[in-house]
Amino acid sequence: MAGLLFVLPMLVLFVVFRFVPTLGAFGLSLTDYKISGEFEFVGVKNYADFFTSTIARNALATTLLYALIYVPLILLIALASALVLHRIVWGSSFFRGTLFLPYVTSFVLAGIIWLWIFDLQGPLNATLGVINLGPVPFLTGAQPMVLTSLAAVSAWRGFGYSMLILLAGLKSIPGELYESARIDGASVGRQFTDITLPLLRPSLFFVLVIETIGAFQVFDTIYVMTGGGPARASYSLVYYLYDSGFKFFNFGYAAAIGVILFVIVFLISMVQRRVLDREEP
Amino acid sequence: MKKLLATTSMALALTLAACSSPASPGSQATPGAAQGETKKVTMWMYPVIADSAKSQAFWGQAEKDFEAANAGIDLVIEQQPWDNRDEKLATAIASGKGPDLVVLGPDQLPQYQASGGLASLKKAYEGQEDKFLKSAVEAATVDGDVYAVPIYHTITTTVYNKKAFDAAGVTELPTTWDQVKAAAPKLAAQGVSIMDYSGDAKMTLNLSFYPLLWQAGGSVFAEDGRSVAFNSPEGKETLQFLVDLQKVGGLPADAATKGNKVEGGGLSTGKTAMGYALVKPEADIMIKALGEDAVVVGEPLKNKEQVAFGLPGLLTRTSISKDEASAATVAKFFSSAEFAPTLSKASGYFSARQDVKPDSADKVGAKFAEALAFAKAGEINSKARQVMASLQPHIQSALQGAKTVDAALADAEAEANAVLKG
Repeated sequence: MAGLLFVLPMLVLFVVFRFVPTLGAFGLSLTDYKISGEFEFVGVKNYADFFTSTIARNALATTLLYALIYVPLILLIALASALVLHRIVWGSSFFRGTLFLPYVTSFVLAGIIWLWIFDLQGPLNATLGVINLGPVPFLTGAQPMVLTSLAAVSAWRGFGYSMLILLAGLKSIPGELYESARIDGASVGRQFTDITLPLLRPSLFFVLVIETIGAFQVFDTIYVMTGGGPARASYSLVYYLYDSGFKFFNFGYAAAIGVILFVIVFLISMVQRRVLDREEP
Repeated sequence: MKKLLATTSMALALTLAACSSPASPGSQATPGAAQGETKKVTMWMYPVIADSAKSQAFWGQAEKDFEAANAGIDLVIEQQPWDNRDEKLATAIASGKGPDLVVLGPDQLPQYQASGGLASLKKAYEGQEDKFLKSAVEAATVDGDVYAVPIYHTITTTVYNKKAFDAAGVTELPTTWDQVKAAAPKLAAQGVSIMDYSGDAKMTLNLSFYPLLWQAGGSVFAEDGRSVAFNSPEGKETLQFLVDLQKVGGLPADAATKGNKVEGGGLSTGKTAMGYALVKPEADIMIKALGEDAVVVGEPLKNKEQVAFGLPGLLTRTSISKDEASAATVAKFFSSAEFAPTLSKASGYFSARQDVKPDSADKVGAKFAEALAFAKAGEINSKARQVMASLQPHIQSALQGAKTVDAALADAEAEANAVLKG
């Protein structure tokens, strides 16, 4: 009883601000809701419309492709940064703070700067021009190019958070294990694959899950930088949700997209959990 | 997960709004209230006066002037930014905290009406039924009921950088599509694209593709509004015109994705020679950048038809307002023949009234006013924006060479018709 009372404030907050809204979204997804407050129960029509819509399928495919580019990219950058920071003795706080800075920077402002960097006449293309490359249509070309550019910007912005989690994981690995491995003649690579990676698995799993969820919920990067274009090359599922709700006032349909997104992310997280978080045999 | 839940929280907010009392704080007036009681009317105004400080001062004074003339009404004018206007307004109406009156465009009004967000404003026309431009009143009318009164009218027309044409040896400024096509290679040889085009996904097609479609004699919707009509010979001619221009360097290289910002863009730096859908404040920017001698304001371009997009600013009564009489009093004041010239002078736009003539001292403004005769306020359909969103990416594909004109319009047609049937 005392335990329940202890967690009650958090439990109430969770139910009121997390659980009930989720149920509310599900309820809304079964209606045709008007901004005047009137609504009509339409059953699973919004879900049927989603699964028969070409735009929805394309948005889902675009989101998947984006996730496939973004998640490995940010994992790689975050892990590499964490490993380097773990080895640095002098000035590590300074570098840690500097690398974390993009995470707390206003993305609207940063997005405008990245737009300029990626512009056909921007500094990146000017640099490529020096070695007779380009101009590369980073944000206006084919879908893989546009999504890679957007994923790079999102990774630049978000890797600091994952890096800190991985760094904490690295610091929790006992130094004696590396010392023993060195005495046994294990190479640096072998130490990484046989000590670091296995013991970092819980942190890696957490980072993988949150970054996968982040990838499926990508919106602000696209909103600021491409508006979903060109030719829907970056039209993600959440952007579709946003358009459906706030641009076209199909709030029931938008809620259905939200529920579908929730289910997709939940399933992917479960699969990741089974694959990565399993106990050692 | 947090973000997802935040998204769904919005859904709950909407659900809760649905369950809440229909009474709204935005409308303090109570039908049948005792005489002498002050009634509150809230009005959302957008930056139709571009200069923020001037806009604040203008609407602050307008509020005082209105209240001095109408002692029984407490008017509150809240200034809002253009950005995310639909998100803010839809959320505000859904939560019952929105304005009684708000300025909408002709493509927004039917969408809000279909979603139950508007209320009749017929009383605002009492005594001035025939004073407004017919096209503006039509834009405020859905299914025979009128929801708004026009308080200003924008108009777009063609604006040229004459120096760019002179430098390319083109002595006669092009006024038809054929002339534009003929002159395009000459300007391209000078490194100048003859015509601006803004294909950005966030742009309204009313300022890019649609005016050209109308000039070609085409239309977006079929007459009954239940299907689209842009996959027609006229639609194909329009898109082919753009694609052909793109091929000869007649459009900016990034036309498929660029926005329509004039300041710092090709039209003010001399890289683009003409815009076919510019408003007066944009012409003023060109004049400031290129000099008065270099800029010529012409008539709307002509192909089979001579048409220009012109948008009435519709002061619209929302479903928040429960007191039509007070809302109509406010709407009448801001659409009056006395107020219209003041707003025109401050905003650079025009009056939507037939009995208010433009300022004859403003030569550039007078040229724009002439274009009002060719004004078309878009095609009214509650799903106009969804159809726009269906067509836009396919135009981008055609301009980028990823699709043929026929394939782009056929794909867009299939998508848009599915939207209209849904």
